[in-house]
Amino acid sequence: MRLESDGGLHAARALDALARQRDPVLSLAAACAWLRCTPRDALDRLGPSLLQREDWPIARVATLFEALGPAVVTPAIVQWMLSRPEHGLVRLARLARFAQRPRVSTVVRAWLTGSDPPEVLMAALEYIDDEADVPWLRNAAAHEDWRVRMAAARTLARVGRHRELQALMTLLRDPVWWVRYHAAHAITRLDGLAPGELELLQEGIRDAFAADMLGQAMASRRWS
Amino acid sequence: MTAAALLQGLFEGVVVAVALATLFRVARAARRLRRGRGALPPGALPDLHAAFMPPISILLPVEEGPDVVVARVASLLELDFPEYEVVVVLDPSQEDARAALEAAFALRVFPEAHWRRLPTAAVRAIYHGARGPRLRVVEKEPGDGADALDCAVNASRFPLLCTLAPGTTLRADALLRLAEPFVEEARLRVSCAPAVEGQASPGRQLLGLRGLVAGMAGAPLRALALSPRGALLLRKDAVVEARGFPRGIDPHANLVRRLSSASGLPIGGAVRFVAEPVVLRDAVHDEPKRPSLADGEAMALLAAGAGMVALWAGGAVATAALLAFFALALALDWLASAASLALEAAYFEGLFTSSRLARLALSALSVPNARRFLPGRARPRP
Repeated sequence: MRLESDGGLHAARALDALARQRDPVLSLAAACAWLRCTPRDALDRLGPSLLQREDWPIARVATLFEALGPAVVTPAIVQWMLSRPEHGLVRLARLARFAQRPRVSTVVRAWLTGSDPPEVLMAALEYIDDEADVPWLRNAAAHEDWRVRMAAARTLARVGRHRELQALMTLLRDPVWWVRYHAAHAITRLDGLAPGELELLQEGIRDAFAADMLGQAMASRRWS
Repeated sequence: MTAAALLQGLFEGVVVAVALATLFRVARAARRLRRGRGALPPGALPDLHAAFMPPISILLPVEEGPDVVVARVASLLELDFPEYEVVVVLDPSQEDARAALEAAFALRVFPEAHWRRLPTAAVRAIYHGARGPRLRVVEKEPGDGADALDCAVNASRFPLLCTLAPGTTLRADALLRLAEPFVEEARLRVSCAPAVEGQASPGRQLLGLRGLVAGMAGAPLRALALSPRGALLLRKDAVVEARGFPRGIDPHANLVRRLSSASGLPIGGAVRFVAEPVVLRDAVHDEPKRPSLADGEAMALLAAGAGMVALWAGGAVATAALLAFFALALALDWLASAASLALEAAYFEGLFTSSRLARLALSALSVPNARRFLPGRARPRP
């Protein structure tokens, strides 16, 4: 802690050396101290470790990023995103939420076009808030990984219009419970549904699991 | 050398080996503590971010009377954790408990799409609490304890499952402490916290202390066998893969062993022991905890003692040798207990008191009448 208050070059070197040690607790504590002391320098030097060291819990790094604030972490996060690290992309996608949204959303949304890991696609879907991106959502809704399909349903709940009903009805018949759950909730929140349309939809569904799930979502809507 | 002398040497060796094993665990635990998070000054590491904490479903099959259940559910709904739910399971024979919960939390039948991942007795209805949005109550056809737990697994929504021993309550941050290891170790299957019993006898405290040391030394399965049962946090996908809670005696401990062996990780690698007093238990509700067959060391000591007595009864060893054997056993046991206490004192600095040390040390010496001289001894069980 004494080193942290020094803030000098000597302290930075000492913290850098400690942060590179294998011991996860000591190295993370040193990294945190350095980041609190001179965040921009530390972010530059510690970038690979922050993204790649699985023994540094992302939940702790996230708290630190939040405390440092978007103005401090955004330049580093954008730089890491543009360099598109081979290892640590999933962690980067999850940490992107602590950067200034307008500056990272374009880069993150571009990830939807690639064949990235499901976690990256899920993070990218969080940044869709424009109807123009809905075609990407349709691709995600047909993804082989159920977590991506679920994230697509959640995003459709946020930005979907009536014309996405068909895609959501397909997701409502998904074999995975959670995909059906989010699809049903998305359907009940769609803009432009006529009064009584939900009830008609439920009556017309032949798949019992899908009908049950839509019934649950409709009941939730009535309760809330 | 005669056979009797060989056997005597063997029995003494067992006593020494057991004491050395305890001392080894103490040393190992001390080393882990010295290198662990607890050795850092407060605030050196940031807290875990709420958005990255995996949500938890607390499974609560009804095992107590209506008043106790309502109070327990109310306390569970007040925990300090970002996202969790309480899933209560009962059957038609517990109508009074359902009525009490209905009155306390304004339960209403909810048309829920039940996900039946594990085979269980049929679900009659699912209720949601209007006054406790985190509360869901499942009414099912009668079945055993494991069936109720499996039914709660089916109804649960979140990836981590928490089960509690009867009569326990959780400290407000208990879920946070139990979930922490899952954030830090992705392959983990189980985290467990023992119950802290306010009114436990010194002997029971000593057993719990040995469990604590074993847990801190990285032997969570032994810790579970020795400590009073508290709370378990389990990965749901692993529980479902293991086909739910095993039927028979103590489904919780059996499930933990099954998950540990199925994980393919080294012994103890899939299970983390949380050495913090986050689960509290009223000892009156508890069954006595005695050394069991699962505790191989206690069994070995008992066998060695019985063997020495048999040799003495057969005239193979002298009375002085028998007394020397038991003196050695007690001295080593005391040494091991004292080392464990010192470790506990170092860990829970604030909880350490000389009277507690004296009580536990005397209990370790197995002086039967010592307890009556000590203040604050456990009150007799009804």
